[in-house]
Amino acid sequence: MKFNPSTKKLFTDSNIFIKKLHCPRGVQWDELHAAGPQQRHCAFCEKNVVDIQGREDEAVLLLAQQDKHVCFKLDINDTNIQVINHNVE
Amino acid sequence: MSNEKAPDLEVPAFLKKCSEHLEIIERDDISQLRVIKTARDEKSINQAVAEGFFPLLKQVVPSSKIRSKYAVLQNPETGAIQVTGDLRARNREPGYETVIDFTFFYPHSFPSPFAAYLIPSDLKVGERVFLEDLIEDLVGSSWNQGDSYRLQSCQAIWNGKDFDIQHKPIQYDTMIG
Repeated sequence: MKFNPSTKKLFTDSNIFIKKLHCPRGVQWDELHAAGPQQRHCAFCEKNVVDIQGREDEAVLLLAQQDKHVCFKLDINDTNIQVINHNVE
Repeated sequence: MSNEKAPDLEVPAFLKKCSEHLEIIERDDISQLRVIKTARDEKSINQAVAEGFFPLLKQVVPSSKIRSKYAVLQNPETGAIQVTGDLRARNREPGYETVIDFTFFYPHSFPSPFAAYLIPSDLKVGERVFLEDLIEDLVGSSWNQGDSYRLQSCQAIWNGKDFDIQHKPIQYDTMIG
């Protein structure tokens, strides 16, 4: 996947837009409680945040398509993430 | 085990100074904060004035501390290019050569060289607010590859003349949203 930290937009490697990662509350992963495999519960929005580390692009895209309000946790140093700083849309 | 009483630890002066400025923000209170809007052109500023807001004007000044990087790789046979901002991608694609090596740049642009926070008439001195669209160019976070990212929004306290920004830059490794 490709991630632009300035726009916070996440794309597949083939430049398909997945979602914009924006948390208006500035929630930190370490503040959340475990809620299953690769998931933690956010009490502010009463839903789980999904850790996408190690997941395939298509699987993450599908999650975003199935629930447009889904929240992801992305590790910028994940080997499956390439940082970009330009527009690919 | 020794029965000796542990000596009182003396807190270094620099830590005392830091703790004076530490402010613990109750995250549960965030949703209670008033949101201060920003207007970024003449028309929208004057429209806000007509609606009863006072525009706190500021220059939009890019900070040299905020920077992102890019490199352009090219396939010399086909001419196709790939652009990356990640040092790890340097040798990822076979057949591609670096034609523009990693270069830092300022990654933002704004509609006007000025902007204004729209101050409600009943804003009280000492009131904590949420600045939705920060005008000041402050570093919000940085990445271990040398990139530093702009703070987009944050909490602040109104001192009667301006906002005291409530933010400390963080090391950037995870993102939630």
